[in-house]
Amino acid sequence: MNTKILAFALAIGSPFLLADCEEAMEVSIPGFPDGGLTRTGTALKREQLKTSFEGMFTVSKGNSLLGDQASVITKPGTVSVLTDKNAGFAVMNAACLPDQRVVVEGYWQYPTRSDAGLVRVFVDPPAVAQALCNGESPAPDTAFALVGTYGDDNDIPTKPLELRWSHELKEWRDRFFTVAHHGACEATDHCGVSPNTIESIRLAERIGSNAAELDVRVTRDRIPILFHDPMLSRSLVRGLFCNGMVNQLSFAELRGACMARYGEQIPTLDAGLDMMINETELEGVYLDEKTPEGVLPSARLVQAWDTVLKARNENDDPSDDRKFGMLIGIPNDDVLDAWNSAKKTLEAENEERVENGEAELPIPKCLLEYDVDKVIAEGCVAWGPTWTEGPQPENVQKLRDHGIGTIFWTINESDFIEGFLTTSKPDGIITARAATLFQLYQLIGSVPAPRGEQP
Amino acid sequence: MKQVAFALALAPVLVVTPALAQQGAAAQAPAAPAAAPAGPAAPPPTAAPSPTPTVPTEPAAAPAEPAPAVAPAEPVPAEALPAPVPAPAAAAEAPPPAASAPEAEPPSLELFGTIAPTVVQGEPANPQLTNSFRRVGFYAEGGVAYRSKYFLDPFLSFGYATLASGDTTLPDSKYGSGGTLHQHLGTWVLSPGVTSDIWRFRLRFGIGIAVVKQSFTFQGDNNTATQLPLVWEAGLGFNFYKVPRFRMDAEARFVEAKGADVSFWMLALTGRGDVATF
Repeated sequence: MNTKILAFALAIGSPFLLADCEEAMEVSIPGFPDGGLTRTGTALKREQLKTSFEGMFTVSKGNSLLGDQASVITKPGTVSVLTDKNAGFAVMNAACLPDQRVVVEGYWQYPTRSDAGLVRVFVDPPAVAQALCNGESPAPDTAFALVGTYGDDNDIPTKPLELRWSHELKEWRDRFFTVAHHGACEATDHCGVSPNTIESIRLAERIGSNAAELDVRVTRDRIPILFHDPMLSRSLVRGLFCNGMVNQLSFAELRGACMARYGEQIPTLDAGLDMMINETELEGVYLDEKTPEGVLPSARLVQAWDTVLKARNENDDPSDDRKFGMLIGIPNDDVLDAWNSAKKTLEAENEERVENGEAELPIPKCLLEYDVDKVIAEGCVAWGPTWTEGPQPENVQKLRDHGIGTIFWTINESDFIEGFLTTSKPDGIITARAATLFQLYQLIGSVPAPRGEQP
Repeated sequence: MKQVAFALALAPVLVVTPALAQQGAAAQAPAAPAAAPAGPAAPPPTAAPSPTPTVPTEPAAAPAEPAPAVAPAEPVPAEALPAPVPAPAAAAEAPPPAASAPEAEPPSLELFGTIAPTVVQGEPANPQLTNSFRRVGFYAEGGVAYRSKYFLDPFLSFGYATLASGDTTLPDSKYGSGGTLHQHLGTWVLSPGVTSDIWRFRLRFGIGIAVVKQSFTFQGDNNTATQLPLVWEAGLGFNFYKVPRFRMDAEARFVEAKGADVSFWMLALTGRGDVATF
């Protein structure tokens, strides 16, 4: 009897154990309890950050956190340290304090693990800090250093950290695409942001991405949204009433019943493009069309935003200029058919505009993910092969000869990133480990020719 | 954690029930020989089991009448019996051995029905926009089971639960005007499984499929979305009423459709009746 009962208890208990294996860990992003020193200072300007902080740094203290070298990049309001060690990064704010010191503080994280902590460093030497506080933007040299401490979790940092500027970063803006795979991290990572959300795109930019790959689906009322799975699966959403297929719910129902995994709104494609164009320095987006139904509404939105960008770039205010590319991603023949149908529709609409004396709207550009010859035949500007097909350097070069770029998807492992960077020399890689890719590109990557100058 | 808590809550029962079962078996064991009917060669019915002399209350009933001391196992036609005679006092005081032994229940095909209030776990996505929310619902289920002579009894059940409802107020957006979004969550559950009776406790475990049905009403437009996840259920029941061919149980049960993240508890009342025995 006891054996039978034990067997029955195991039968009952095994689903509990299996269920627990799927539980997602809660993520807590560390923060200074009092808001940090930056709260008492004056934030540095964008140009100061870009001119004075960016570069490759040698890690003289804190190697166990960052390795021997780390890249420092800046975005509006933030300074980021990127390393290929555990795809780690630190995202910090910089401010001039009343005593003429410049503090840079924030948090560090290994996204694939639950490790995170606080960082607080100061600009050294003091003369550079004073210059920054005076509104100057001194160019860094080898005397420039960030000196301070880091810690674990929410503990006040006490472990020594010292980064010393080594040399300038290899050209990457407008050259090499570090493409965020539907945002900053994978759904199983510990970044505290959900894929395909505004928050995830914002973090992606801060940890080294200069472009994003986003997944597009349409709701029942044909509104394109950013979402990966056909089902409202629990790995991506929360909400007791959030059930069913994405295309079974209207946008209003989705908005009322569902939130992304970490509590963010599920954004529309329109909101995502708006945010990327107006609130980031990202250079482009690749819209991975998950269904044929999403192609035409996506293409219309791209047209609309292209028109906005054109207007900004043609006005008399150069500070308003914005360069941002949008590609319709074609993963299979069904979407390709929808793309060709959408192009005909848009061309017909352009003919009507011309008849009405209006200006034509540009037809969006495409990226095809599979057949090399179809990429050329369809007139797409980029090829997005899967990494599982190998580096394919001959195909990369063949397309480059036609003026077509190559962006591999989705490579997260350091060894593979290294292999593709050195063998294929692509124009970009889609990854959920932007810090790793950025750092490895800086260390071993080849700089592609500027766009427009490629053969 | 909730699953672990449930497993921990279940653990003492799993530990205790073997002991209960063994006690039951020990109680049954000595009763078996007493059930043997007295044969024709049986000695005269004196107060044989008693070591002390018994004083008969009615002397006429003593040695003259060779009537059996215990009731025969097989009913005897009335006309075949001699004229009624007063039963010996000792026989009247002795418990009827056949009645003290539990009846061995034959295998049977059983139909059952369950009703239960439910409490669903989880929260609406937008609590700040939610005007009303109800998580207490109702579950009804029917099924068929085979009550085997072995340890496990297989069953197949089919039920529906209306689990939760709520109203969310949506603000205006560029995609349309706002309003009140009414939401209702229900689920169909089709689950084969097994039960096991241990003393008066009844363990239940099943794995099947659910059809999670999500309904919306917004600006007069009704819409339904469905999802088809796997579902599993585990329960612990107690048989509180039992007559031949019919039983009633109270049961605490947990049901989870993992793929849809729908899980709920219920406190069920189950009636079970045999429709055929084998």
